Amino acid sequence: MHSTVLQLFDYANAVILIYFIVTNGVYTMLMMLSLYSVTLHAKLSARKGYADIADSPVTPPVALIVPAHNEEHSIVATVHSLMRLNYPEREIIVVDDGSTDGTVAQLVAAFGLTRMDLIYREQIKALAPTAFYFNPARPELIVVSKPNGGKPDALNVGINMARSPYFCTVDADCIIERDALLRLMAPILHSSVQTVVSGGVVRIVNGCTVKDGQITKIDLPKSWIERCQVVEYIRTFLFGRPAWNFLNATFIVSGAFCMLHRETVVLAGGFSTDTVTEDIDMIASLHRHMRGKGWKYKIVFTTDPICWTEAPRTLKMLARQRRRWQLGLTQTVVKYDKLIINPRYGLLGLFSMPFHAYIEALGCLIEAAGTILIPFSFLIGAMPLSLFILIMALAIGYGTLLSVGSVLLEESTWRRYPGLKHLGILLLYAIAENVGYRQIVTFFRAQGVLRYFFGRRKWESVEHKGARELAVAHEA
Amino acid sequence: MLLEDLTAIVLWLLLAVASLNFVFLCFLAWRRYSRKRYFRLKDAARLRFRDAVGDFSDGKLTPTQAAAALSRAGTRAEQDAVQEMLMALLDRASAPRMTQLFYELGYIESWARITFGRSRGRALMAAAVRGEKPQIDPGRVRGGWLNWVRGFRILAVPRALAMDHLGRLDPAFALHFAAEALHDPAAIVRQVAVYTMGHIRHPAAIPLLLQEMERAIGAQNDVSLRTTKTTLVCYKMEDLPYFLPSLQHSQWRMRFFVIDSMREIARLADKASPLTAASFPPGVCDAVVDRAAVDKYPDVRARAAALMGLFRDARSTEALRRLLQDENEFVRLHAVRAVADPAYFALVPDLLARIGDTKWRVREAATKSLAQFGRAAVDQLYAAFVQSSDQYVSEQIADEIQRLGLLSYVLGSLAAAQDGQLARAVCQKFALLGKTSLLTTALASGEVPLPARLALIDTLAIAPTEAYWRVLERISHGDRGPLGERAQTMLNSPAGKKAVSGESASSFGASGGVGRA
Repeated sequence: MHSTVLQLFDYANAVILIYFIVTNGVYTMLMMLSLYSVTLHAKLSARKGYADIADSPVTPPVALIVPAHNEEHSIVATVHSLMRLNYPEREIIVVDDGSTDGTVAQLVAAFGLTRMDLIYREQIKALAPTAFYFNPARPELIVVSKPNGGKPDALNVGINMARSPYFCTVDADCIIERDALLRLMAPILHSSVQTVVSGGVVRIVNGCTVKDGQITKIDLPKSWIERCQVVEYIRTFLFGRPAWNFLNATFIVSGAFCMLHRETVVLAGGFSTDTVTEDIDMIASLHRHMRGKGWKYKIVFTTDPICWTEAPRTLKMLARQRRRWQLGLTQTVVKYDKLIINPRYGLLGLFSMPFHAYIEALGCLIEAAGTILIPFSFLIGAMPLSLFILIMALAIGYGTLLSVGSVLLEESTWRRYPGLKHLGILLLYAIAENVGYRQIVTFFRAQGVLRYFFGRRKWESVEHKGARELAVAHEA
Repeated sequence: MLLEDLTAIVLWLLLAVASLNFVFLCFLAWRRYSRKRYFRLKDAARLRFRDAVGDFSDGKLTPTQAAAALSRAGTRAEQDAVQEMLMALLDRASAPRMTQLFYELGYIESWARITFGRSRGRALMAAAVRGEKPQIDPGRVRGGWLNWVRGFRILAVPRALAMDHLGRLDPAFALHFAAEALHDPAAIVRQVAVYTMGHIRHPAAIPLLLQEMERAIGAQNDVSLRTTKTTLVCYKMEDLPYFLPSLQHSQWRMRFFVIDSMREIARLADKASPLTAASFPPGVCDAVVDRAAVDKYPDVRARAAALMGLFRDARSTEALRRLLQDENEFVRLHAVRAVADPAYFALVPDLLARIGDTKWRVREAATKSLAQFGRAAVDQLYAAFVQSSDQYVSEQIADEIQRLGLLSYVLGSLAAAQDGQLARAVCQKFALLGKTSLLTTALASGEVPLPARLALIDTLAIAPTEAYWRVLERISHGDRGPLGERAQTMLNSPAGKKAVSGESASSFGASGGVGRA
């Protein structure tokens, strides 16, 4: 009996180890590709700038759609930051998704809006608006009130209201850098095929100083949980996504700040309400739609546009966020399972989708099992101490390698954290996050997947405690 | 045995990972140190060469004298500092002197070598120095394995950056390099070359750019259509005749993009100083009115309408009148937008006809355009609004009246003897359409004059909403003057009593609802 158990543990450990080697092999490949593409892109864009796009009459107008639900503390700062964007022609559409706080009142007071009865033409199905707020002296801003229907529904209302050929989704708690929209538009303008999505980098605003809707001082947050997320965001946005973009197989673009081609999105049916991560769902939907039609297209991710967002400050909120992300990813890969290992979808079908399905979505179950089983194997004597220590050291060492590599890439390219102190802290947390933080996040992610299988598929909202601080800094 | 093998594998992996981590950390430390040193040297170089650059810029030093002073910049940081200082001062007027200085400093040779290779770079430079006519060869074919290798991004980025520098030189000089770079195998280099053409604005480059555009239209170009168009619109009014042959191109999309580029060029010029037909070079107006405006393809006609709007003469008025009745929606739309100018006041009746168009975009544009003609046209718009029996048309006009802030006219006239009747009719129409949010807000606002508020109480009573009664209640409690009295009178009416008692709140109609498509 004991030997059978030991043998079972051996098999389980072998599976975990193979998974570890395969996963990290893929990550290494992605790291190399990212180093190559991000470095060259940074070199080129740093020299050339974006004045050509800002001055060009050819640059298309963009609608900035901001879905807002109970965002009274941050919404005005966000709209201010959008109004200050360096972009030739834009419209700002704030969709109040049934807020019960003073979100609309804040906007009305800050921008002198008046309630009007405007025409609403439904191209994508969504809950109909109940009120419109507009100021003829500020025609670029419109606020639409509607009953609560969730973020995708609010985005669909925004798309129905938009007139511009492109729209950009912006989370209500985000601060956008002044040139970010130009940077997002650059690949669209320079692409010889139809670019239907252009996504950008999201960074963590915690610790930074915000004034008049702009970041005035970049700093790192104080708590360990936020600092670990800073490193995690750098790793995600500088390592994973640029590599998939290089292979023209982008599957995830953050909906916090992302530009999309309006007509294509309308044809694809708009944002879906049946998953909790509408951004990932939209990308998959667009891939399916465009490939189905046989049209040439591109979905791009650029590493220089910067949107600053607030990260969860407590473990409870972090757990909610990660469970939702994982649940949404799982829902999406299952919903679009026809794309997985499908040669018709090129590198997306053959590599990106399997990676996102088996490693990013479901892989956390194996990781979580490994986090429990390997120490347990050692405790029951199924694994010698030397091997146990080596495996643990390897797991931590490899995690550190990816994080240190991403800090290196950040340092070699954008340098958003310029101080020596910042670099030291980032490196420290690039090492430290591998002991404790990563394992905790793995368990949250595994919970998200399990929730999918057990049918608990509702949206978990994350409270933004720091929003009030941002608003105070703005007023100051 | 298996376990031992596994241990060995893990051990080796761990060693590899630890080594890489160490390398990364060392690289980070080195990068911090080298950057710090680089910027220190650069700052020092800026201070050291600031006077020489300033004297050259002020004309106190000749290019040769400046080159002698600046050639002491030896390290990369120093050279970068000098280049950046000079580039910051470079404009169209200083370009010839600056180009001579760059040449004497050897920078042009270095950039040309990076972009085209040693021998080709030198040959191009020599041709530029001799003032030869640039070799523009649109038919040159790209190919070969070397070009395939040169197409890799890692090799193309330095070329693109060097070409970017070359593109800022004196146009006569830069054109040699830009024309050659158009044959580069890498899209990013060709993209820079195309942008350079826009910066140079040399007429000889227009056929080349149009050819790039043609290839992009045919999906045979990895330089985007928008990039080429951005470059073409950098040209000026005097260059428009070079575009005219392409208005007869066999491909309609080519004709469309050409007329659209011409429209953008003229629009930019019009922003600086309003144009008339006389501002255009000879032949342009004829080509647009006689050819583009009657093109078989609607998109070409639509853009021709937009361009003709800037002619502001009798001929364009007649041509635009025809296009306002075009069978295609987009042609009508662009024609409607084009005539939003006092020069086309004669077309106001045609515009009024368009507010009843079957397509909402045309209706919307017509309403906006009418508002541009001032009070007289706006009054005609109000009259059309009041008389319209088509709900779609009425809603469209109501939408634009609100968005354009035109209701302030109405409120201003409500109590006036002369215009009051029309203003009241407009308000009543709004009330009948159920679009009373703005008027109810005005009724509640202390900033609106008393006579207008009194008139609003009466006009909104035609189709009272819940919000209307709520406002009246507030006024009756808060105002002891004639407004409060009038509000109380309304509340004491049978409808008011019914509303206040809340017997059938829903019967008061929409509370400022949503329009329909």
